[in-house]
Amino acid sequence: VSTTSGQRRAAIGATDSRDNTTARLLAAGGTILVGGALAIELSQFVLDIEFPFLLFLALTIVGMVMLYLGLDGLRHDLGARVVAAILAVGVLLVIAIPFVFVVVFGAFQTRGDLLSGPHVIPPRPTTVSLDQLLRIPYFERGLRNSLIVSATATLVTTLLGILGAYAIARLRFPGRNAVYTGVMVAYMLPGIALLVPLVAIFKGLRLIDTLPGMIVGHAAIIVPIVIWILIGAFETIDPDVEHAARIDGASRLQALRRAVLPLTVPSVVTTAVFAFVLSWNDLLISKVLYVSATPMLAPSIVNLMDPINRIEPQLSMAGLIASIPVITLALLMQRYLIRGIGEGAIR
Amino acid sequence: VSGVTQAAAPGGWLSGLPIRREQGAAAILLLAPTVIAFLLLVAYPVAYSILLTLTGRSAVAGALGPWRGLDNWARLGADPVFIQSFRQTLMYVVPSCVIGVTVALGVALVLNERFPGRAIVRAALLIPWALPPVVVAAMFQWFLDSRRGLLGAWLVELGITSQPPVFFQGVPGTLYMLVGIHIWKTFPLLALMFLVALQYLPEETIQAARIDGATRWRRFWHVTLPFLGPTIVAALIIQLLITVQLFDLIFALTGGGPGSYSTYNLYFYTFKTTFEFTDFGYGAVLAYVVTGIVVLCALLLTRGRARSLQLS
Repeated sequence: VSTTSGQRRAAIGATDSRDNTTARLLAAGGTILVGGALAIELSQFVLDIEFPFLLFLALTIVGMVMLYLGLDGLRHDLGARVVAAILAVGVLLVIAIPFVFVVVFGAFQTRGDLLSGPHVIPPRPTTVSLDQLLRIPYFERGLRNSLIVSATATLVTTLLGILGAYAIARLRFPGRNAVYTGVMVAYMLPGIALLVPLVAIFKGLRLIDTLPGMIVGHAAIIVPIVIWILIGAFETIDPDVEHAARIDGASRLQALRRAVLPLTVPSVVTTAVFAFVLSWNDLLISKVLYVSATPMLAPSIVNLMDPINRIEPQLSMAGLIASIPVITLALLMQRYLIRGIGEGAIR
Repeated sequence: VSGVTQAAAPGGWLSGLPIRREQGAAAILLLAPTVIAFLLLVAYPVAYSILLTLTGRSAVAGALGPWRGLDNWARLGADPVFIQSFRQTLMYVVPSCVIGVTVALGVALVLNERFPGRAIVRAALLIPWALPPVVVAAMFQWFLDSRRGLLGAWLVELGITSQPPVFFQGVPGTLYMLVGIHIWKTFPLLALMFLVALQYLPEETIQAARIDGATRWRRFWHVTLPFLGPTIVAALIIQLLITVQLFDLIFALTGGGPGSYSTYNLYFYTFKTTFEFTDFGYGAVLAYVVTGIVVLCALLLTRGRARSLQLS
């Protein structure tokens, strides 16, 4: 083992010592190019100079290539890291600029102030659009109904999901394969395929235009997804955990609640968060299960988007309000969500 | 002695039954709510929609209309809007998959390097994923609008252009604007998939390649890329599944326009036919076409995943 690491170090050392001067020059040149281009570009916010954007782009790219080659020559992997850090800032900007400037700053500024340029610190922030927005009856009702529907749907689907997934993952019973296949097909089924007949049936049952109907509709689409993800979670738990609890005299439900569930808390909570996000973000179900009005949040935002009558700061404020719950949950649960995404369970 | 055995036996009402029976009874009790919900809300509707495809328009929307046999199915081949929507579905899917997965792979490779603040960027990737699609639509409507858009106004304000540039207009242009916004919303999910996969990249292989003097590019091409192969296939199929079911952005941003049906995809056409033109019979046929495509791709994904699991 020591020989291998010795060889490794020797090999890496060999790349380190090649052409130190050229590397230094390249790195210095790259830094000057990237830094200079950025400085000039940013100074446009303050000074009244004009600098062609394409030239800025070209300088940055050439500078980064020089920086990469130079730094990688000086110290192994340093160039890649520095260039990756610069590119990561670019990724962050692409994600954050529309959201921060349009939704967050847009919600607290007048249209004119926002149009007068990207201000890093918004001038004259105001909450006037919040007051206006909450006075629009359909928005206020939509927000309230979405909270009720999404919370209830999350609770119901998670509960049904735990019971169903546990039975499918753990118990051997006749018809298990049929249930398993049914859940899988339902999980894959596109929402519209279910909604076409569901709306037809709901019309007959007079469930259209009602909140219970809305909750049932959301649950119908989300339950198979929740079960599918939780089957995977329960299958990773060692059956012996449960056997031990059962031998100690626990009933099956007690064993599930006291022995199995505590071990799967992260999965269950992540799945619940995912169920909430699906329900909260949904437009299609909310649109088709209510015909007479727009009682849910997402359709009411579409109403606000009307190209002729839209009032942009109100739209931004509505977007901000609709984003707060899902963004908060996503950031709180990021570790588990990322793991779920990696497993392909969460989309 | 008997007291001890009793205390050590599994509890619960069903514990008197033999093991196999007990499992069956427990399964029935645990699954009952789910199975009832499933039968009422999935199986029955799907069966009902088969009937819908065989009937014409009814006076009451949603009720079964007069019997039409396979007429609704026969309409597909002669329906120009169906053919256009199908073609446009491909116009959404192909760039979303190719560009989306490539960008995601690039971003994942960048975020796989070690540098300070990388956790912040990784967390930020969850923002587009979590944002409600209607908020994304509203945000970009204001950001990119050619007449009153923010980006155009800022570019003029900063002196980068003298006129607000016109982003994506007209007939194929609007569709590609939707594709761009859709990629903005979906690349983070795919990038996170790649990032998680990269954590399982065997360090020794990379080190060995490095000792052999392989350049970064060759290490990527000969080690990292083949390792990511199954993940790339999975990412392509997941992006395909998501894009075939693209609805919210179209509904909120263009409503299917401009012109006649220029940003329709099959999913949106199904929605319009069923819920706006209240032709539930033909809508159910279209829904089956969408389902066919989606289930086929999803099965490919599970097959591929099973195979990649066997390999590892």
